[in-house]
Amino acid sequence: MNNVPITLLKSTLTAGTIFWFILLQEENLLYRPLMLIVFSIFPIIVLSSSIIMISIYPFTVINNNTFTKRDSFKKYFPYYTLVTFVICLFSTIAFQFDVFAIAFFSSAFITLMFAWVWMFKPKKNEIQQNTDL
Amino acid sequence: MKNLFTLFCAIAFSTLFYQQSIGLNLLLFSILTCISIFIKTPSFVKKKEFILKLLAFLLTGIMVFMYNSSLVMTAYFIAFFTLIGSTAQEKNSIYINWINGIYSSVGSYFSNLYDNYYSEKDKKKIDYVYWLKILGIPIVFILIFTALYRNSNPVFDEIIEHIDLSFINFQWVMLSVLGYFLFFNISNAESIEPITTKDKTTGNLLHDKGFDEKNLSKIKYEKQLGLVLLSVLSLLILFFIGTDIFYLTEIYDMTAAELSKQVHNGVDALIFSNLLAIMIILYFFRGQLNFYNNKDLRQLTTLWIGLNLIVIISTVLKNTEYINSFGLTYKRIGVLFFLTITSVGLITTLIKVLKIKNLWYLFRVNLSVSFVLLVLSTTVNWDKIITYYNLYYLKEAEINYVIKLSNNNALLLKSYRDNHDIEKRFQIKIDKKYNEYLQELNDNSWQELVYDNLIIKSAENE
Repeated sequence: MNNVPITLLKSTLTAGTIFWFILLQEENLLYRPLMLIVFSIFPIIVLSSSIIMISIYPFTVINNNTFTKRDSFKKYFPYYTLVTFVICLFSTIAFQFDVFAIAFFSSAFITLMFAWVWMFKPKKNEIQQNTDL
Repeated sequence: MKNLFTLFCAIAFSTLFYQQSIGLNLLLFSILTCISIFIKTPSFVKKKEFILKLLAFLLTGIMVFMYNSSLVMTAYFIAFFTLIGSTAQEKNSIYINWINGIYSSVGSYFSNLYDNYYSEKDKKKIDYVYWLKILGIPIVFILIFTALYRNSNPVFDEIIEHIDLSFINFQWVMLSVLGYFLFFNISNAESIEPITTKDKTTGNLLHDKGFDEKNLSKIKYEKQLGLVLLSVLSLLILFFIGTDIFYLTEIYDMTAAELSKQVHNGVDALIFSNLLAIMIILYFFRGQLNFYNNKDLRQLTTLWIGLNLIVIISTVLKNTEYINSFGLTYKRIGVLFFLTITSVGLITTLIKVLKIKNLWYLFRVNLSVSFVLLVLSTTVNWDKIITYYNLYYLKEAEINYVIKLSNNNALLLKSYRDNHDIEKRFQIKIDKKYNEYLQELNDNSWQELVYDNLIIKSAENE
């Protein structure tokens, strides 16, 4: 699927931006390590890409021949949202609302939601077909 | 207009909640939520079912202001999801409302974003010049005129001088974005398909699928098994009730430990026996046996459910005696709450059998009743009731227990301490609790105001 590389790139940037913006606002942070922010992009790439490839990409492949992208999105996205939200919420509670946990899980949730939209983005001809239908 | 209101709500959201604890702000948020829904869909105002859910939501919002507790907060969020779920799709079961409500609150925005790919209407390019004019020109003129008025009027100048916008920082802006996202989701709630439609089309009745020779013999066998099983179980429960009556006569001579053991063991056993009873009944009345000649089995089921209800009444009596002798606690109130829910479960199971309803009926009715009970239970200040009962009705009150309850009883405790002769150590503890609570109330910003703030203020004025 052509959307994969661009989705992974956008997701990495989104996750990194949200995560560090939340964390850097914390006044108790002892120092604001620029190098750490730069180097953190590598684990963020690995983590966000693997989660997207494992948990979202399969939905683009299954029923590929019978379902349009829109059908797949409408069918699976709501349940995925519910499960992800519950996992992120309970994980944040389990870490007693620690700022790192809030930054990590909120960036993960928002990134995954956007990743669905980007991953299932239709091509122009698919939009036209859908409009014709 | 709708977008502007959402923007207003977003700013209000961060103003209400940024670095604030819960109080008046949650009630104001509830009111904004209701207005937001009505602006988006004015026709909801005519729908009774929706209005009831909205009133339940507002009631929990008011109760958060009256006495904030974890029970009220739980009820508040459940009522919120119920309301949002019912704006997504009407006339659904309450559990579908919850699922739709949670999904709408967190995922609706992204679903709308995705739909925009296909929507020709939304593909119009944003007219940045128009927005720059509509927002920029008024802002520029407001700044110019404010500067002019400040020079010409010292009172106006002083008021402007006192406006403190230092609270606006990145986190405040982030919270506003979150507020926008939330209010957008509230006014654009979506339902999950196909479960929503499936639920809507599924009625409460079981349907006769007809009999053939093969399943007829199976149903006869099941009916015989049901008759034997329910007869034996009815005899057993009759024997149990007999022994229980004997125990009830001895209840007044029991020590606290014995009575406690009796009640707790009784409730544990009751939980299991009632669940098992409902499961057995559901097994036998799951299908065609409902349409077979089953008058005797239905009568036996009615008898068995009746006997189970008698066991519940006996446990209520034990629990009440326990409360009379040793005071009210959350656990003892919880037992009464559970017994009420169990009774409702048994009665709805009986209705299911007599009126040939399906399993979905049981889920729908029992969850709806539980929701109503939960919302109604928030209207009671349990900490205050427990404290009042234990202090004023018991011979020997457990003061330590009531001191450890939340601050909702702090004013009552203080009044008791001032008017009664109690041990010095309790006086110190009560004073400490009261003073800390008073400090907490005085520190409350306007967003964090609670009902006790008003009480303290009126007492000060007197």
